[in-house]
Amino acid sequence: MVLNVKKEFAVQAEALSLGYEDLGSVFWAVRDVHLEIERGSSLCIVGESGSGKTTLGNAIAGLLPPYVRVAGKLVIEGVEVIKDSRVIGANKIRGRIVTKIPQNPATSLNPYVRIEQMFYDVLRDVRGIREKRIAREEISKLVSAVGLEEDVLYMYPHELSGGMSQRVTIALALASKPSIIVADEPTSNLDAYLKGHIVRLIRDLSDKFGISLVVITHDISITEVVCKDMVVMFLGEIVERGHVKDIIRAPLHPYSSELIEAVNLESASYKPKKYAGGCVYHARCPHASNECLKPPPLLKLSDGREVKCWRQAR
Amino acid sequence: MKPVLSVREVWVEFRLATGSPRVKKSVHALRGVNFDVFEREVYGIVGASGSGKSTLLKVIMGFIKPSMGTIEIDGINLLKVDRETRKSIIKKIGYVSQNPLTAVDPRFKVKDIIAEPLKAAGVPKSDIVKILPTLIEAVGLTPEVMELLPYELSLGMLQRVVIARAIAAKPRVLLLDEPTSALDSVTQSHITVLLRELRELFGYTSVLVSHDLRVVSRLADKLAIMLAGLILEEGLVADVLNRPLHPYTQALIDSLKLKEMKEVLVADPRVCPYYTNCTQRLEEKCRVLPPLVELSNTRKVRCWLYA
Repeated sequence: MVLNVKKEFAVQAEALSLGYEDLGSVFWAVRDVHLEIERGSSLCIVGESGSGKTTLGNAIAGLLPPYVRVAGKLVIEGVEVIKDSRVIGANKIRGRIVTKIPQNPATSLNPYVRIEQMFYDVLRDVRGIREKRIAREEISKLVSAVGLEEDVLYMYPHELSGGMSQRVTIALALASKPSIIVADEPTSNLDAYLKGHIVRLIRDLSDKFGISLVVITHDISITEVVCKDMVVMFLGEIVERGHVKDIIRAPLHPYSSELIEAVNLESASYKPKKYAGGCVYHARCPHASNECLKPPPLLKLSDGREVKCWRQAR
Repeated sequence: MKPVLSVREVWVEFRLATGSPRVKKSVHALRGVNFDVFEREVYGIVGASGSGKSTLLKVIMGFIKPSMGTIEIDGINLLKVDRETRKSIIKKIGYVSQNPLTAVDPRFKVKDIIAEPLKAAGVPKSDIVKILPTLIEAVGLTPEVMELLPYELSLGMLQRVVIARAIAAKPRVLLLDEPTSALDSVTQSHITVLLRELRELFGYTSVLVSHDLRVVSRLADKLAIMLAGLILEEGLVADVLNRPLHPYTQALIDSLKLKEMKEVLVADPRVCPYYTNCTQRLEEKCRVLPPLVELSNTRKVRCWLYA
């Protein structure tokens, strides 16, 4: 397999599969994913629990566990991370080129360390800023960029509210001057009212600093606010990709429609999911036919739209 | 008509850790909450994190002792009766908590989890076996799950099991504490639809607490907006959503469209809790806590603009 490493892409994945060993066989959490994210653009990965979106996000952030099985190729900012079924360059990108905004801020901040010290640590270890005065100025800039008061710096994580600690993790992600930020469910631990606020903050800051943004979410309603492009994942496969506006206006894959219905709390077609070959969505699809027992091809439509469904192939 | 559940002037105070036994600091999680829930009615409570809505349900369940107030179920004050009567009344309350994983015993099979309230209600074993399949089916699961352990189920399936357990013994009152907030958006939608279907089937009387206005507007008849331990507005769901009176209610409705919304930080308990964020505040007047004014039979609002 030949992959031309192009400079203008922040993330390039070719036939990427990620799996975990399960009783001797391998369970593939992500199967055969092709993905390209341009520099400075933003992509949302949408899907429900168990769709493999977090595993894919962890691969991009260089945070795969050592026991993971990989196949295919992943290139991030010109650095080959996964090649020939091996993770080779994760430590070159982790925390330096890519940083991750975690799902649960409360459990990802060290409870014994003041917020100020966390910033000093990142600035010293990643950017080599040792002089306290310069570091202090930089910290002030970061803290005001996310809309926090400087008092926060002298507090411990347990003294912060959910919204405040999520802002701290955003500022910490920015502190290492990354080229890519992966935000894993940035809003799922916040209540509905803060959602819009935090999502906008992430978008504005990545625009301002020219950072490529990958947002992982199960909530299709926030995609319109943050991202230009979107991929929809189900059971480890990308079933649809395209511009957010296009997919929300006219979803082609039945799973995308289900996600949109779910926002209005109207989706009721509850069926357990299991994968038995063929189309991944087959067991739950309202339009399933015998054709769906064969895996559908990824159809490329106009304007960067791709969909994996036999109904569109006809 | 007499209410099934009636909550009167409930105050809850939490002591804060100050590091010194001489310095005493406390925060009021609930500051005089009043409401009634009538037969076959779903009373929805909406509020941001920290508004005291979960505390309220825990007080009704008896997990937290209020410093003041009464809680009556069918006219019996739960806080004044002896232990035995109290126990027999609490058995008639169904409770669905936020996180289904912490709500079940990991060593119990699904059938035993659901059978528990039936056993407590004294239903004979032969009847329990007959009731179980209908309950499992009512919550949209297949009979095979009865033999499984909690870790073998997905979060959404487990939440269905917890709901089945809550309605098993035909409770007098069903308390739903954020039944969807730990789930992903697709499962959230499934559970909301399920709760609506169950309501048509069983017609439960319920208090539903959530930070998600969408879920509450789908399921509830009446809606109360809470902030800092106070009810700011109360009314029929359609009235409150179509004609919000309190500026905070308006902000919550706007936030559904992902509009900008700032965190509400309540500093001084003596001023209106929405004072710092309010766009329509009257400088002098709003520095005093407004009373909950009854505008009509069903509508109440706590704001100086209407007092």
